[in-house]
Amino acid sequence: MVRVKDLVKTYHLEGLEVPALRRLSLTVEAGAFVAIMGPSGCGKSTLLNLLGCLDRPDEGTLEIDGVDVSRMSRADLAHLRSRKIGFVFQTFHLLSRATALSNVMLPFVYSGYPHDKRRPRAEELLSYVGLQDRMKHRPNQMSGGQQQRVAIARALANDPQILLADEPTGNLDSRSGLEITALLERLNREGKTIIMVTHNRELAEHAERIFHLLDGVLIRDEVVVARRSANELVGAVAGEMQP
Amino acid sequence: MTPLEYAQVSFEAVAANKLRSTLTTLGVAIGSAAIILLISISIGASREVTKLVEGLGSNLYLVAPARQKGAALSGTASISRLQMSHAERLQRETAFHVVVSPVLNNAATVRHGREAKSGVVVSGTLPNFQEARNWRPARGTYFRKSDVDSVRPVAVLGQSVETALFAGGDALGREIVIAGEKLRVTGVMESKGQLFDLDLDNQVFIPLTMAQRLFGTTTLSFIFVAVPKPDDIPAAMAEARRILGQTLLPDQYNVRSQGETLETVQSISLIFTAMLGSVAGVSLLVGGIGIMNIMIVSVIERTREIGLRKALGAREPDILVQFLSEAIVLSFLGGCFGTALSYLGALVASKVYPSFVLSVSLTAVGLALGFSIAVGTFFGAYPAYRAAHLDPIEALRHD
Repeated sequence: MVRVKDLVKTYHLEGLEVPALRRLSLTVEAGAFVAIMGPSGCGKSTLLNLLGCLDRPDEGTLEIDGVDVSRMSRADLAHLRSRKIGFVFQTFHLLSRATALSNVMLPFVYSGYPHDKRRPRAEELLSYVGLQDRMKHRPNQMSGGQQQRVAIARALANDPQILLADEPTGNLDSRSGLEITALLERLNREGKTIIMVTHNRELAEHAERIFHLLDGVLIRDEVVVARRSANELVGAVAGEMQP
Repeated sequence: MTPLEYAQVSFEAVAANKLRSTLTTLGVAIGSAAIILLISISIGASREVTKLVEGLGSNLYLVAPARQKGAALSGTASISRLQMSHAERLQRETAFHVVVSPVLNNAATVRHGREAKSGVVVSGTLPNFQEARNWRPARGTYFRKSDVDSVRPVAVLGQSVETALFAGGDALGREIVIAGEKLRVTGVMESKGQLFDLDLDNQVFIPLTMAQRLFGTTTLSFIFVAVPKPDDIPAAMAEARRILGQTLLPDQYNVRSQGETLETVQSISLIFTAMLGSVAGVSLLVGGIGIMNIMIVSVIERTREIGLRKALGAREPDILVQFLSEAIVLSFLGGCFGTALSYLGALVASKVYPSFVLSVSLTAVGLALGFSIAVGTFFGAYPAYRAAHLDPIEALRHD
């Protein structure tokens, strides 16, 4: 479970105080799939960075699995990131020199995963995301959708409870985007908590809840009534493509 | 991360930019090669010098014309005021059981038939030269006192002279010509080998009286004095100064032990050492700055990678060590190239100066590799620190 209470974060830019989050509170239950929406500058990226333990709030508390992480040292936050959180980025952030397999094995270096189990685990994850025959490919030999799958496999490396996805389909065509969304849905069904930031209303409707942010505060906590399912949509797209 | 992982990641990063990495390591390579050669030369030189001191005998001191400051390096000849009478007084008035061996040296061309060798050191000596210098004929005999007294035209050859004039044959009993004078060869000396470029066997020994006649002078080049025990040398030298001081002015002579003579040789090798030392220092400095420069570039290029690694759980020390070890790998590779370069340099030197045995010292190689690691650590520290302290959010956004 992720519990955010009265979170305040202010940036100082050239002497100017720019409030990014102003006493924001929200709760994400374990195993939930939520989306965070809002216009540019609403504070959603700041929130995602705080949830991902990449930054610390000025005020308020952030609890992950009942532990307040808002005052932790940078080293402890790094440890937390490697164990509890998986990141999925809009631009994938794969190491271009490394193969899919090496990219997926990268997090093991920082979590101290047993050496002899790294490769089998990475192969298992790549198979899980459907890339069992692309393990030795480098990012530039793969499509955007395939690259994002590698990135998701990497995010899963240390079996984190929470996946943070920042516009995960933003750089993909609609079909690849749906496939990635389907993958996220599947991970959610299998128990992962997924927190996704997006501008895209359609994508957000795959989540069970949407938090609407504006000017650093939560303005609406929407329960999605007609939830979309990527699996069905992929089927539909595939159906349309049949001759 | 284990050290092995750091090393592996660093090698991969260095290998990813082969040309850039190679160029970057050049400065350190040259610096390391200079260090290795420098130390090897110093070791070689001091070994040669020690060999020479031992060859001359540690129980020897020398009376020579006073030497102007720097004369040994500029080659300025000093005018000798030393006469036979000085050698005789040294022998007569000493309290020690010494061997006083006066020498008159002159460079001359030595001929045999149509063969000629120029620049040969012709030494006019007494028979006691053998005892004083502990240097005797390998074949034949040295001349005797009677030969000196009656100015007999006899000569004892150094091995290089025999080789040059008699083309493998035996010189004993044959004739050589020096300054128009025919001399009969009675012996060939033991080989003394070479000191740097100086061939100690390029000498001909003739009776002192004969040398005085040939070169038209009565002065001596120097006087060797051998003392029974090396411990007596300081006292014997003090005594010699007292005796000579009675007839010579202080700036007309110079009494020094062999060790002091060899300081000249060492001062030359010191200049060489200092020169190579500066080259080594400057190259390592420039090489280090080059590594720092390329590491800063690398940190900027890989800002997003650093952000990603941090997001995946890398702590600041992880990033610091990663980039530091990359800098160390770069400069260590430079050290390895430098080692290869120094072996090449030693090989070339031994072809150009066959007389000077330059063997690469393993101590020097170890020291140079140590230096290269130190350079990488020192100049890699700042870029690595910058990388480690990047804000992960900013870094991930970097493009």
